[in-house]
Amino acid sequence: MILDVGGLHFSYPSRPVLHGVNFRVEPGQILAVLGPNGVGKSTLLRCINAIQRPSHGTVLVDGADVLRMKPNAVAQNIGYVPQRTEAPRLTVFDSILLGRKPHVRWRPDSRDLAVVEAAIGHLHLEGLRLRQLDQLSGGELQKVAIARALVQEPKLLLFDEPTSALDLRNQVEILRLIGHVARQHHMAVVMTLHDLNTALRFAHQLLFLKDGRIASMGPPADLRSETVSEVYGLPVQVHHLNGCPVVTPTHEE
Amino acid sequence: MHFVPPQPSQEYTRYIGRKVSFIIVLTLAAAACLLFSLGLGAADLSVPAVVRTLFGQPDSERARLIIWNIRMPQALAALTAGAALALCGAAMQSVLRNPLGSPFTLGISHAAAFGAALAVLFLGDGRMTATAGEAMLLTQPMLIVAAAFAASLAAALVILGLAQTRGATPEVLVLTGVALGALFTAGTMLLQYMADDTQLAAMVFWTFGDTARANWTHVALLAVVSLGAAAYFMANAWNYNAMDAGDETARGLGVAVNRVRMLGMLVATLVTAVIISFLGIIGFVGLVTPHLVRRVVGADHRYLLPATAAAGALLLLGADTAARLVLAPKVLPVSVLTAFLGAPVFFLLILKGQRP
Repeated sequence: MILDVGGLHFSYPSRPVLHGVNFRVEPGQILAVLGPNGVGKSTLLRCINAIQRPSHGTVLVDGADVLRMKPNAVAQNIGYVPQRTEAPRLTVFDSILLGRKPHVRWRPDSRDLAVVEAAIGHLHLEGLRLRQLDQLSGGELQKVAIARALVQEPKLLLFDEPTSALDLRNQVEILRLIGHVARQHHMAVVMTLHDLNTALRFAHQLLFLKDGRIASMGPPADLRSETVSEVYGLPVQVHHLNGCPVVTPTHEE
Repeated sequence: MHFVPPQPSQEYTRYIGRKVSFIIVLTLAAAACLLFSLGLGAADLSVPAVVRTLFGQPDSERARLIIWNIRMPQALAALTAGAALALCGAAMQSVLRNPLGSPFTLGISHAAAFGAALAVLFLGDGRMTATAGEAMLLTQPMLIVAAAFAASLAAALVILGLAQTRGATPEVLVLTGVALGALFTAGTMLLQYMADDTQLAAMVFWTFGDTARANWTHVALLAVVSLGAAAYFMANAWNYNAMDAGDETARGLGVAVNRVRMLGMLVATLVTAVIISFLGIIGFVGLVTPHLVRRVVGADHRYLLPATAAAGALLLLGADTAARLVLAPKVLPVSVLTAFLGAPVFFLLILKGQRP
């Protein structure tokens, strides 16, 4: 068990967001968090890595309580790629090296540099090592953000909409890569996604949030059209295409 | 995750090497400028004569006095103030995520000018005397220094206090600074209107930043404050890099974003307040230097900060030296020159399409 979330409650001053969210993620597994806009998917991620403090509940990563850790210790255990990253005038190499920050005391040593080189290889960024970030395309920038999270050498990776800015090819490439890295390094992955069909193809578990609670959780193969219809308030059908479930909204006659 | 470590690329090593060389070149240039500057003035001394004096073999007692008692404090004040102002500008631009971040954009200098004007008007301080070199001197300026410092500190506290209650977002900090700047400017105008001729002259004169006001005590104090600030900023270089990638990313990397932002502001305003109080308002060094240096070394604060400090020192000492030359034998306060230099440089940066 890498991630164990128990009884998570979170409220903004004006409104409650999460009440009583429980779930677990196994090593090597990808959990997709789904649900309508504003349901609290990003908030859930931010509560898991203690950027926002939940009012109740526990978050255990590999048995250790994240909510009691110092920020730096959290960053050693959890890599986080937010929805938006800026592109300062920094080289790709230095930007990825930033991911070593939680482990570096004063200046990076040769192992830090080597880990960065390895991540550059993983994400096929070799040709861009010294390119400035403000000259990259959206897809390349996203790869840099993912590489930065990988070199943190975390046990858990959190992605907030990792593919929203990407074209089809980059989407597939990046999600495959995330799955590969998770398996190879026994990391758990939690990502929020808008596209149900992408989640059905790449995630091992789907978690649907509705009104601050888990409406349903299970593997893609078990997905029922009633669940999706209820969560999104829209009639849908689940088809099976080449053994893979696909969701489409029902045509209104 | 366990990677098989390959070697870091030669390409990257060379890239870092170039940045380090740039910093070294700037530092050497500043040192050369120091030697040149020490020789210049009403009594011209050659560079070898300056070097001999520095190493305890002065050509004459007069040369020793001129260099050690007059020119050295002024040159060192220019070096330290230039380095510190530029560093503060670089740090503020980073923590505020705003290319216009500098102690002057945030109303600190306006507050200092207000404090000085207040001291001139109500504490009866600051009668002026004209000296042989036609430089004006304020008599007993310590009260003015203290008042200017207190006012800039008050401005800083208001900014930080508001940020504490409304959240330390860059927008809150910048807007508060702009509002404070306007308020203190209005206050200064009122005081100037109420002042008589000599007081008005003293108020205006105070705002001309001039390194010639520095004596050895000032230099020592400036150096201590600046070194402390430099150490603090350098220790946070990685935090600033992380915050450049966005607050969320920085938090994910374990940076306590709000605390780093508030402390960065606090240190930068304190240092600026000290400098302005002693030397007067010296604009544009803090704003322009980081932008110039960023073009060469990029936004990596591990190299940007030391390079900015070296460039700021070189810039202000160079400007100070030039200010003593252009209208010789009359001496121009350095702030007049930096203001003239700063604006065109900034225009040039905009026209060249510098992304902030």
